[in-house]
Amino acid sequence: MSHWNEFDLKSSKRQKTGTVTFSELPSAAVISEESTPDILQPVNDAPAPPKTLMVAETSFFNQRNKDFWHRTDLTHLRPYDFPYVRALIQQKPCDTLSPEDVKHKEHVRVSIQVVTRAYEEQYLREPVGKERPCIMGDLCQGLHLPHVTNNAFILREFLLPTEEEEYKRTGKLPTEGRLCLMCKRSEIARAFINIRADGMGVKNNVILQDYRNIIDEEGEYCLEDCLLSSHSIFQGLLDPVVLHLRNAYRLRVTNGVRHYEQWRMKYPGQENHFLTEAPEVKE
Amino acid sequence: MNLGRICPFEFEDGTTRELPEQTLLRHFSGSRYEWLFIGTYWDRLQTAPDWNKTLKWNPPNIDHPSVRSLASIVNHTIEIMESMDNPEDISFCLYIYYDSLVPIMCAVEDTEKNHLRNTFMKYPPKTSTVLQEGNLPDIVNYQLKCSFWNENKPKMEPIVHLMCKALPQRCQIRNLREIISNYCQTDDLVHEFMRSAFLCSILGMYKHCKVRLDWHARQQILRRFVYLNPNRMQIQEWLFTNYQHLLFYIIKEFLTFSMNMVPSLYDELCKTYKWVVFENTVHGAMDHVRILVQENIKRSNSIQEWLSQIESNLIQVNKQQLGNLFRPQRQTFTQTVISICERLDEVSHQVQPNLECPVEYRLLLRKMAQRVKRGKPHIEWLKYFNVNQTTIDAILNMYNHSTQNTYRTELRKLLQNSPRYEFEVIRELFAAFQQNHHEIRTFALPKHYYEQQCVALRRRYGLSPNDELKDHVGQVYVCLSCNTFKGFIVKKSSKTNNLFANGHHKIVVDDETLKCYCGRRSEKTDTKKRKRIAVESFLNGVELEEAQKRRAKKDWKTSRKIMQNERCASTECVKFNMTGCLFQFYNQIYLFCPSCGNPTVFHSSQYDKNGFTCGKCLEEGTLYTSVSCYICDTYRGKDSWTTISVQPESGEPYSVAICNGCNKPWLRQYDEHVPFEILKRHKERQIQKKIQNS
Repeated sequence: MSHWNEFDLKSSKRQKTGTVTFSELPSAAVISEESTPDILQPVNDAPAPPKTLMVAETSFFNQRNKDFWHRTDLTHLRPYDFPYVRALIQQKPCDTLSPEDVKHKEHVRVSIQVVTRAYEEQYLREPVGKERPCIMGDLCQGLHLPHVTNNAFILREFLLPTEEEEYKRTGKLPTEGRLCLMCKRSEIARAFINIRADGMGVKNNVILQDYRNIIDEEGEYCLEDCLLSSHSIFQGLLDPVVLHLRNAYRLRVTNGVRHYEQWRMKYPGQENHFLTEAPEVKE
Repeated sequence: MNLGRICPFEFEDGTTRELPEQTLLRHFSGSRYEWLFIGTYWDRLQTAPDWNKTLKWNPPNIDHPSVRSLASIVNHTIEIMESMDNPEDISFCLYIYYDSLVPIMCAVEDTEKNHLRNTFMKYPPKTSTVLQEGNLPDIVNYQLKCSFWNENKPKMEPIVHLMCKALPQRCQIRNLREIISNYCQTDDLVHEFMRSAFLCSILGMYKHCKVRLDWHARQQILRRFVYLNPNRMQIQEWLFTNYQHLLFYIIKEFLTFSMNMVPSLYDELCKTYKWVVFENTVHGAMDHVRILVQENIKRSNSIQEWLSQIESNLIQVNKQQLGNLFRPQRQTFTQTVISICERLDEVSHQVQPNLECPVEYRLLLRKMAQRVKRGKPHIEWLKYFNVNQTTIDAILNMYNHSTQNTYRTELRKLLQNSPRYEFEVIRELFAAFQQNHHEIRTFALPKHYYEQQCVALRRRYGLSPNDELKDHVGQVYVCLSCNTFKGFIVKKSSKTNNLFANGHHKIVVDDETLKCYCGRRSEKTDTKKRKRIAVESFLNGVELEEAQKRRAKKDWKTSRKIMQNERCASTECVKFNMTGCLFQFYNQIYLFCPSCGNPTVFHSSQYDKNGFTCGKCLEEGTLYTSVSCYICDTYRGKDSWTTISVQPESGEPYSVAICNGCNKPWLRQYDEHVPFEILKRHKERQIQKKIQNS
């Protein structure tokens, strides 16, 4: 008998079962009840198999039925290597690496809130009253727009819709300060680009965003202004999030409060939204 | 062509940010130059004081009052431009202010006295349209599409390709001249970008420029390339068929400006590239170019002469940058090992990949690889498979220094000289890491995807909304031998529509064990392409050596395919539940469509106002399962439908679904809307017919 480890591809191929031939058709002869032995009735004259044989057969059968690394006969492994390999494969597989072990019902899933353009635009202004400024302080993107030299300002912190609702209900802001919308967009993009530069996709089961934008709907954004994971490797962004560009905003003062307008972000279906006459174009 | 601008002074809705003359007025307020920036152009023509010094710009017809005023404005402007104590932003605004005057200056020089009044009307100076960094075509979004690191992007838009060529990576300039020349001829965006970027660089209209052309040189450049309005062919001939290095550096200078617009990208480039060194080098080189151009313009009137000596100068600069260039590694060490092994097997025409290493080792390695953290491959594991320690040490050494050293040749030799068993085990180890750490991964979908998927899967599997999802709901198969996904994929780009397909494709079920095996069978070699016996392959009845080699390779490929078929047939498919999962599998990402519950792939093109879908199941916002023919009321599936627009007696027209059977020629004859009454009568007739027949 060949060793189990000497695996032959040809022999492993599933063979067709041999064709069954009937030597004769069932005869119409009447068989009496007495002449038909009970199927489970043991033949009395056959000797009982020795117990040792039964044990050997059972253990052989069990051996064959185990996954092969659970078998004790691993001749290719040195005896002192075997415990390590066995201990390793008895561990739970890493998160994200084993599809067979995924249990969809057991996951605690990330909640990604929908944020409209109009909602976002409320946050593109300086803080008023009890509102807090961006946690980045002087590093806030609102202060670093190259084309806004005078009157640049730190934006107010960006609250997710649930947080804003809570704030309106209780008057309490989250304990920890939040990033402003620009900084949040920029930080998401930074993480996304870092993952892209690494070329490996996200390392763990991570989603970079806690909010998502709407695209292709009236009054919302266009996909080309947003970030999204590649189609071949998961980079942590499943839903579109607007990409922060420093040239995308312009300053506007309304009722003495400074705002930034997203002049560069097109509206869906709006052609030439941010197009101006090309320089030196002659009439 | 009318392109968006990076950050213009005047926006499309007519609003403006602070214009250069406003900035200048703030700065020069109270000085003797204040009048230059007060009021309108027409005001200044009336109020300009006479210029008492020597006229630097001395136009003809100076006795004309408007020309005299213009000369005064221009000469005053030149005087401030030439003073050295202006802050950088003021100096930049002054050059914009001057450039806005150049068209009228040129026009005054070229116009006869009688037509001067019209000329002043025709060329009013406008600072918002002057070419400067903010007025360059807005291609900032395209920057993210460049392959900065180790990405392979086969299909790039021309403008993206051009930007990629200018990145500080190795071996970029090889055929840049041809690429630019071709793209400028065929692609409007590239032409417009190159023209604007050329002028912006030569004139020094980036804020970072330390050298800008003087008033005279600027006037010459703007006259030739802007005022005289050369056509595309002329620009192509003058600029884009030569000057490879100049154009190379012009794109680079643009990149040093525009990368700053995406702070997240800029920071990463500073980390991974020597981007600051790159910026300094490019700015220095381009400042030197501008000095050369200014000198050349003094000497000659021809464009060719203006751009002389620049190429040789930039070639030198470019050579000095070799050490600072980023070296993309398109393949990881693991991929390299696998590809070399494959190549060696191909050269030796080895059909069976597992001659000595048992196939079961692959499964063991797979299980082991799944249990260690992603990162580097555990090369030391080879010792568990009786691989020689010297070989393991050699591979480890190569791996540890793979980022600095070249290792391919050494690795190939090592693999070539290894015994077959070791060769196979090494390949299996790296293949296991590549497969389990890169090619196959699962991620938990967020809540909103999962909840929608559950609803869609219940509908697809005929369960009621409150039924619990059973284990078989959402189960899919993959074959790890030929790396195929076995669900029926529905996606936007595919022609076939699998919306109604359930189950798994190309699966063979073992009747006894009910295990599933891959039923995919590769076709034999390309019999259609080449004749089986080509007469030209024989000389005097003897087959030529080249033909023999080709035939041997063909035979090997055929045998390899047969072997692959056998492997597929004997490899049990991996079964798992994809509900709530994002499944990354060999360069595709699979998931269930949250709308219809069919397996689909993740692609940005499948995003629209309905969120992410498979792109096929929602027609005009209606789910395919709920669409029935207006006339016969049957549900037949999405492929056999069309929508027609109907006009009711009052109100707006709307669309109704009609199945292909009911969509008769008389319906198609209507150019616009079908009157609703006609359609309604037709429907009633059809119902009556049905009743009579039954």
